[in-house]
Amino acid sequence: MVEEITTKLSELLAKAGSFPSSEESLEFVQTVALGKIESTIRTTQRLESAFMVDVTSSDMSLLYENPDTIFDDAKMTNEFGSDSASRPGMRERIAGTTEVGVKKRICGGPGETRRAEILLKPKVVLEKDVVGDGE
Amino acid sequence: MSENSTFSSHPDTTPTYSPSLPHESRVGSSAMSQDWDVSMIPGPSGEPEGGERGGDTAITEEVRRLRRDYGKYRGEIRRLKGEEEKLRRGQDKLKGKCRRKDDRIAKLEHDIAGMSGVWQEMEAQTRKARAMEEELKQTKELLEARTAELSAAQTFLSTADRLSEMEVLGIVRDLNENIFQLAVGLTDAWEKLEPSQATGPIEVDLTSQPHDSVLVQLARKRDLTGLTYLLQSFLCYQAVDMTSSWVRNQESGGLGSVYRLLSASGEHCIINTE
Repeated sequence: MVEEITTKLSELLAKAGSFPSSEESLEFVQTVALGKIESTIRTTQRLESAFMVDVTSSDMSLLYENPDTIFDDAKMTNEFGSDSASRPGMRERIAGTTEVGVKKRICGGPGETRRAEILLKPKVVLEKDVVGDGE
Repeated sequence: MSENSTFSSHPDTTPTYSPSLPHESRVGSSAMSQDWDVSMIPGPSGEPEGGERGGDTAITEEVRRLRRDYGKYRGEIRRLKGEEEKLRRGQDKLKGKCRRKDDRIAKLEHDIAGMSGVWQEMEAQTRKARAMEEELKQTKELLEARTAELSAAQTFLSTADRLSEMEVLGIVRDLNENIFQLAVGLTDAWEKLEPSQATGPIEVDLTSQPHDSVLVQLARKRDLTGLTYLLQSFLCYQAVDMTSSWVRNQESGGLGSVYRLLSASGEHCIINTE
């Protein structure tokens, strides 16, 4: 898993033009971030175990918003908070997710439908905040 | 030889016995066709005297012989009659036996027919018992499978939560912090690289690569904030993918059958991969 994430990170950096080739990019990631990658994977696996084993009264899962999704204040949080006021009449697009959220799905009684509840909204950055109006 | 056998005398010899024959008047007429009873022939004391004595003696002897034969034959007839009677009784007895045997055979045939019906019924019962035995075996196997599935499912259904929501949210926040630290660490390290090691700033028109996200395009412009956000977004996506991989794996094996049953029932809480 560590190797897989390391490889994918290096490919992403190469695609983003940060390195001339993916080989150099891979060496860079392995040198700089291997320990943090392992730590992040351990935390993710701990979370997976919590969802699958430790919590059985509900179905919990992480929330992530795809780029280009229209921002919805009910489902996500803006990285820049309320300072980044939406422009009137504009449907703001998401540039990316910076923090994952959590939702849980609960069964109702017999005959009732399942309902979902967001425990933690994912944090996102909007295109307008990273690009700016002039670009 | 029958009891009614008769002795017929020749017509030429009969006149020599005429004085003593009780049926003399019949000689030469109807007596010619009458059956002779040998007992009516007189004995030697009645025989005539004179020159015909030699012929008479022969006749007498012949008569005696005939009388002896007659007696012998009568005895034989009586004996044969007795034998016949005995045989007839034996025959009747055997006929009775045959009738009883026939009755016995008929009864046995009837019993066999009855037994055949019973045998067919027993065969049908045996087949039915075997079918039920097979059905029972399949039911037992199904019960064992369902019991195993239920046992596995009870792990999910009856176990109390070992972590509270707050504890889970704490792990999520740790994860977000790890992601942030990793993204910032990579960005900082990249920023410190010698220009020869890293690709220099790329002048990219944001509309020239429409298939790339805005963050990729910013990273191409050496925008450090954009690169950090790009790495964060990527790592967030990987974390979501990892935490939902269990469900995907289980759909192809292991507890897959349990998972599919529970998912289909809609009565239990199973993580959604959407």
